[in-house]
Amino acid sequence: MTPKPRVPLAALLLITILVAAVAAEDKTVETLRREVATKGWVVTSIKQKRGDWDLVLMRPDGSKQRKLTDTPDWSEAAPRWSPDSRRLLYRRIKAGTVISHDRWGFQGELVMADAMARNGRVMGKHPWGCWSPDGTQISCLSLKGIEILDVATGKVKRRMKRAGYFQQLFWSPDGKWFCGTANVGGELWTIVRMDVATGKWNVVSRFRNCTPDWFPDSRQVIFSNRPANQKGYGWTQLWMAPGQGGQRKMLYGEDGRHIYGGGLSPDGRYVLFTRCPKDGGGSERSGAPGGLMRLADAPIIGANSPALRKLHPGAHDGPVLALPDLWEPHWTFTDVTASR
Amino acid sequence: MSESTTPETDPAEDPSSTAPESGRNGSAAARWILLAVVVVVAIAVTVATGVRSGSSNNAPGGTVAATPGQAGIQGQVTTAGRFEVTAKLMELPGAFLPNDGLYNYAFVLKYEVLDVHRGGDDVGKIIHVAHYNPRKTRSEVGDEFYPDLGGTVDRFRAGDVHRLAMEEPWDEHYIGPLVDRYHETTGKRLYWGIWSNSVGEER
Repeated sequence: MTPKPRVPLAALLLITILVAAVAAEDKTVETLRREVATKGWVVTSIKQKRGDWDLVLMRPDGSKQRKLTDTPDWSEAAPRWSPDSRRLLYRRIKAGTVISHDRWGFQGELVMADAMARNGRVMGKHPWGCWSPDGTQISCLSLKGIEILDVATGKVKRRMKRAGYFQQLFWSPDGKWFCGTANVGGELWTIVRMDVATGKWNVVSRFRNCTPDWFPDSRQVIFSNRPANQKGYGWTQLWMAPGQGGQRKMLYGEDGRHIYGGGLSPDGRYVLFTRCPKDGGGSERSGAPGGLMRLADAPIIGANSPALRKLHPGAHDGPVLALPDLWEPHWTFTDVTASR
Repeated sequence: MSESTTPETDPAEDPSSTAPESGRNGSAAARWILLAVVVVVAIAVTVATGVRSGSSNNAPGGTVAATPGQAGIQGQVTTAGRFEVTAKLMELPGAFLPNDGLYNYAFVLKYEVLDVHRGGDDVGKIIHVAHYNPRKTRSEVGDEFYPDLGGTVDRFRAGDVHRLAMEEPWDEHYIGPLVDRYHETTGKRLYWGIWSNSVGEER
């Protein structure tokens, strides 16, 4: 016996371990993929090679992609199905316009169409137009304040003070709350919840937050946050917090990526997001790689991210299902492709 | 007052007006004199205005003397918004945020009002003005969302004097992130800065 074969043996062992680890990760991702593949549909904006954005329908695992719009002169952005998934709201913005990842609700016009983006009706500017729970009204946010618009007549039914909100206003599924990004007490980029009936508001999360949205139970809010405890500019992470404020929890973080576009599956068990190498949600460029994870697996930390792992020692490595480059995805369990 | 010292200025008493052929040489001489007077007066006014403008911003004691009503009049400063003042920027309350084109914001600055041109008694002695994307020159600050902004101010420095066209309340004219380091100042009136021209700087 000579000592010669020891080095190749060790290398072989290491390679075997690595291959096994990758295979195990692939297996967990594959399990996740199978789990969500038939759970309804996702609609999102995808940048086309010719420069505009079109609406694309896909399965939650990214399969069976098909274009819902194909309009070289227009970009269709930020689609949202109505609560009954029979209609779709999105913004129509002139092609060539750089879509702002945080001010897109002020750009272009609001369009209402059927669930497959057919028979679109341009409704007007209506900034940040968002469905009411029963789909009969739309909330808007502008310099005039918060306006509640009647879908049937197009008339403003109610107007409220905007109380510091300046962008990204979304109506909770139970109809009781708004959430949005606001100036509060000299601090900008604060997530605020407002009581729709009384106009009273409370802080959900302070300091460098944006793009909030509701959990299906209307009790939790998902949002992006760039915490201060990072080197230099830092990285934007995906967080959640109770609507009444209180203990926040990181859902996904990755040093080297800015996480935006957080949204829940209709049952609240899965999270959609985008991983952008540059700050912003990718709308200013060509979108960002999409991701899908289980809420139960949170927090997940992607890539090496040593500094982030020190802050969240109990975080998981995955699984995260990779989706194509996209922007502002929205999920329904309804089979919108079936003729209804 | 039967004798006028300038009878030729009264056409009714000017014989040349009724007899164009008579006294032609005398009328030509009068025109030349009048032209010379006008030129001299124009030069005098121009020089006086220049001297006054230069000295008004360099008064001793570090204070800015009364600024002339015409200083800083360029672009839309006399027409934009309901309020127009000449005011001294009192301080910079900390650094401006980065402005990499991705994030936009307004920043509140504090001014001492030197002269009110429009808006009357409504404008106080100390005002706060929200300026959009303060790192940008005013000539380049207008964008897709706020196309009406402008001015000649290249950068904001404490002590500089600006002629400002403004509106209020600020939140009926601007919807976006606001950096307000005076947020604990109660009862302040916050204006939205539309047009900002440079008038001079304190010495």
